[in-house]
Amino acid sequence: MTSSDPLVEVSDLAVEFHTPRGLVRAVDGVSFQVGRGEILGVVGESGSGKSVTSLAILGLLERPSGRITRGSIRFDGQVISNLDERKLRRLRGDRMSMIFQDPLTSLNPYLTIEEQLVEVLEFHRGTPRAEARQRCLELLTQVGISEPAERLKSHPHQLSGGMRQRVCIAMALLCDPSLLIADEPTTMLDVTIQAQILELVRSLRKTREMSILFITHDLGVISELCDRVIVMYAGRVVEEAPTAELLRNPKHPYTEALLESTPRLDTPHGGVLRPIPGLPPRLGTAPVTECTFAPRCRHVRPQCREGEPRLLPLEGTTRSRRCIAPPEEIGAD
Amino acid sequence: MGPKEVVALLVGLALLVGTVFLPPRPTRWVSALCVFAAAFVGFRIALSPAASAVIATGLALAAFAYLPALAQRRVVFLVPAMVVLIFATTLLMYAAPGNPFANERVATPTVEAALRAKYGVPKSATDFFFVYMGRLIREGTLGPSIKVLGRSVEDLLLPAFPVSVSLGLFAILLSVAIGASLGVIAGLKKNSAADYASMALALIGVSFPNFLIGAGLMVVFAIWLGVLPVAGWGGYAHLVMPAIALALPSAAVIARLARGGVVEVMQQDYIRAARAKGLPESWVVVRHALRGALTPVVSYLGPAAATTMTGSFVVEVLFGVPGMGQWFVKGAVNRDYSVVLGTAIVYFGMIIVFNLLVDLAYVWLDPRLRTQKAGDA
Repeated sequence: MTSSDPLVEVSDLAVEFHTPRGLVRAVDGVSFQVGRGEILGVVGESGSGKSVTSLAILGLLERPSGRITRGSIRFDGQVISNLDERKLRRLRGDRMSMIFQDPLTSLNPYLTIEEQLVEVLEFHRGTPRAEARQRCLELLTQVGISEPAERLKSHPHQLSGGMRQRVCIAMALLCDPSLLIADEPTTMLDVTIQAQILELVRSLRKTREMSILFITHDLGVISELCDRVIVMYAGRVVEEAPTAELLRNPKHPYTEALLESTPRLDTPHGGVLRPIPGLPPRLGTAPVTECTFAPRCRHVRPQCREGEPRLLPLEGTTRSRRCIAPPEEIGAD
Repeated sequence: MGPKEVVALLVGLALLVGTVFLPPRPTRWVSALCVFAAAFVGFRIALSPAASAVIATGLALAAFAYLPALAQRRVVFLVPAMVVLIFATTLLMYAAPGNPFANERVATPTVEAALRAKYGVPKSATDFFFVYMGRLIREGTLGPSIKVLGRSVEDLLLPAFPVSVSLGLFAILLSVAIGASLGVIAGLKKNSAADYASMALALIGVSFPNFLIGAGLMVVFAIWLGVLPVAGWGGYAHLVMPAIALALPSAAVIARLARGGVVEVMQQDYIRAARAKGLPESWVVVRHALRGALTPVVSYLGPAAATTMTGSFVVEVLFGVPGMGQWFVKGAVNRDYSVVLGTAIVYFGMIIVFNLLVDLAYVWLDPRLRTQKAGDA
């Protein structure tokens, strides 16, 4: 296997959930790749399927209500979407790990930091306690925690929010994973702490050659961190592009609308924020007969109602989009 | 029950409620004082005044220094509550028709007056309360039994105490074991057959009174199957049926609490995070979920102790267990005031001690309570 192979390859993934309101297809036909050492941003509003996609990669979909119904996930050349729980468990926390949105609720309030860190090494590596403790101290230092020996004895409630997220990051890195999935890790933090955490993630990528799947709804975070971005809407990827190009020149009407609804520093004074009219569609399992964004789209045309466009590469670029409107009509040019 | 007594009772209750608003620093002092008073009077019954004073001082200092704020607050409430309880029980006993001497054949006014003086049972409830409390504090005795000639209340209760305590503790252990295991299984396999079965069992436990369960057990195990003795006390076999009868109602409540706790905790982010670390599911449940899931069960153990102990009045009599329950029932029927008060004090004392142990366990279980100062409690 060459190192140019993608680390993660998601193809045509569909995930369905049984809910009290019936079957819901939360993710439908999602395909993307994460290159080695790449930071891929996933952006989209709540319910667009970005978190579900990441949980599907880790095999953490709530069973029995949620399951993968179509498509496959490959990790480091191996298909993992059909692995049994035992084999998946060996990958989780070891080769791929995850940090969550709320560092307070994702740490167990009843256990000390040491107890929660050491168990990862004990289960995956069988590391003896003293050695594991040493490794934990190293990692806490690396993620910028002062007095790590003291912190090991603490319980989560004795730490500040930023400190807790650093602990979560250290926990995710204990086994040197090749893939880190970060599910909105800065959303619950103060802006200054956010910046510190982003800086930490950036420096970790540099020193470790780790791939990161960074999920967020914050375009500002995307622009600071990610190499490439996929935009999700209603369980689908609607656009994929290198970060700078996507932010400067969106080629899908949803991305365009998303950018126009986000405040930015580089727009002239008096620039107007335009909210996206309407609401995302309710996700059922009925066959889709039109573009899912058509009801809210500014560039809508009769053909949009005739069938869902496919995600296709845009001629002469490294990007792709799920739209039939002429590219000149959308974005900067 | 005169209006003055009712007013006194209400003032007592108001003072009890008032303890909740006591600021943190005085709470510390008052709790130490309460521990001293309760321990001194308690040990006085068995030990010399000097020895009990030494023990009580030691306990009070320990309480001042080490007792968590949560438990100190509990002491400040419960010890005065004991005094209010004695007063209220006195009022109720006097309000009940009849009196200890009503059945005596020779009940001339002079004889009755002499008897009342001898046993310390004046005609007014308030006077009795002060006579009783004075005797308890000065002489360290629960008073003479009025109906069992020549015996003091502690003579009657001391041999019965270990019997009731062992039965009670065994019943509580049993209710936790049954309730927690059923509840955890039900919570982990939510909406499965196991869940419905254990919750149905819990419903039965809650709905049937313990004497009915006891009688049912007798019929099945002692009469039909003949594997256990019908009643009596002596071997382990005698312990089984009364303990089950006492345990089932609490076990049912514990099962429901444990199920709720497990269901709630399993939805927490930190459980998903633990799974994301690649930990085996069994470890996730035992190490990460159970502690949080069972804290509601621990906090219920205080009330469970109360249920079990009061339940034992009836169950002990039903199964012919020579515990304190029989004295409570006999005392009430005979209007043997000092026996009734004595058993009430011992039962309430046990509930106080148990609640304190529960508080300590609670603080030990939940690290977030440990760093709290008295003021945050």
